[in-house]
Amino acid sequence: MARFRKHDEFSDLEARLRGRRAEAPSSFVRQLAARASAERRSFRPRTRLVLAGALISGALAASASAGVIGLADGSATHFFRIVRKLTAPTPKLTAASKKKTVATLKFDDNKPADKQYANQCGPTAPYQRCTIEVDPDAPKITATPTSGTQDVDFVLTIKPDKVTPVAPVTIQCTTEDGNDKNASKNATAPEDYNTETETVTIPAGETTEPMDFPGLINADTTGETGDESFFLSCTSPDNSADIDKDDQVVTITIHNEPGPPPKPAPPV
Amino acid sequence: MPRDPLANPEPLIRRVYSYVAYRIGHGAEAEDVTSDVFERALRGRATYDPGRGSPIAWLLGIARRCVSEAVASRLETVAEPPDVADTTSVEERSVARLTLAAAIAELDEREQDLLALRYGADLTARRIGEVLGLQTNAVEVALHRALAQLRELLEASEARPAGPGERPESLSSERL
Repeated sequence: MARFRKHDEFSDLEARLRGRRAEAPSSFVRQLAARASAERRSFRPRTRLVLAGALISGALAASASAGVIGLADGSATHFFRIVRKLTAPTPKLTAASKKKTVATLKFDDNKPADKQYANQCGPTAPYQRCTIEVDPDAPKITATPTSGTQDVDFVLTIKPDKVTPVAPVTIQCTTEDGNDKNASKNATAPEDYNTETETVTIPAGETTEPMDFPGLINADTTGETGDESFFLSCTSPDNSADIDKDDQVVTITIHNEPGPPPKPAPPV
Repeated sequence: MPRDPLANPEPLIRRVYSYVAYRIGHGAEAEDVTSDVFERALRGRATYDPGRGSPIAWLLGIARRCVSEAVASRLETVAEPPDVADTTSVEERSVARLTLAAAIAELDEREQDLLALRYGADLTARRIGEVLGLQTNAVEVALHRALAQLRELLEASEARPAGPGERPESLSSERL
């Protein structure tokens, strides 16, 4: 028996049902296929950290301020949505364009399906992307010049304002030594700072969460001068926020100032 | 990953779109839902297991969930049947589409899905079985029942006389 022989009696009806079949518009197919192929070749969640760190003067000071941990262009989480939702072209994440402004989703308030997502962000479409910003007014760190340690504290904030995540967003930051060619500019553990990993979760519905590294900086006791830097390398271990490996770093610069001249040895 | 299910996306996009359009109507929303399907597929392609079915069966499994979400998120579905070349007049074709679409809408969700997989995505019974987790003969039986019920609905509609000034609900000249 032929596989569909028993449906022969419905041949006319089947013809009508096949007549309802709609073909995808060619332009849509080409666009989606091109984007899918591009993503297949280089699919990586994309987030970047724009550093705006400030160097703090003082006997021993550092600033962990600054930066925007942001999804650079949305082409990972909302890659395909961009076809219809974005008015601006999707910036390519290449060396020449890493500084481009983060593209934003354009929601049509007249469409109920868009309106309900306008003030929400999440790891998947159709929400806006969760952009995370380090508090630009991060506390300035001043340490005693010869002893003790110094905390590094800052606040992670969901941006833009009034956008809340629909799911928890987890960020993990780990210390890394500096990597400047001039070794004297690199802060290293454990002499200059203590190796640490901190994980924070911004709960669904919340927009801020502090990130604290207590006692991270060690005061210099060797008479070093000049600036030394090290990093906080940040990831999202559960992919609740997508962070690009190459652009996930907070730079912390330690400014050493010469200490008081050594006291002359007491006469023997 | 033993095999990339999205290695040749264009034919997959066309077939997924046709399935989606069959369920929710041809147009921008179908494009959005199809885009969502491939976004999810791209993210989850590492989970694709060739031993459990073909790439199109895997994608249509995702598409079924996306369609369900799209249907649930809107108040009503506005179907826009595609243009079909035939010799009947515009008015007759319009009424015929209304009739067929209305009759399909009378079927339950499972049967509508079955028809969309068969006549929208143009899957064989074996492929439909991969999507639905059914044996091939079970798919054929279910399809036969859906067709029989659909024809019954259409015939009942044709037998119903239209009232004065009432917009025709069926096309009596259209034979099954």
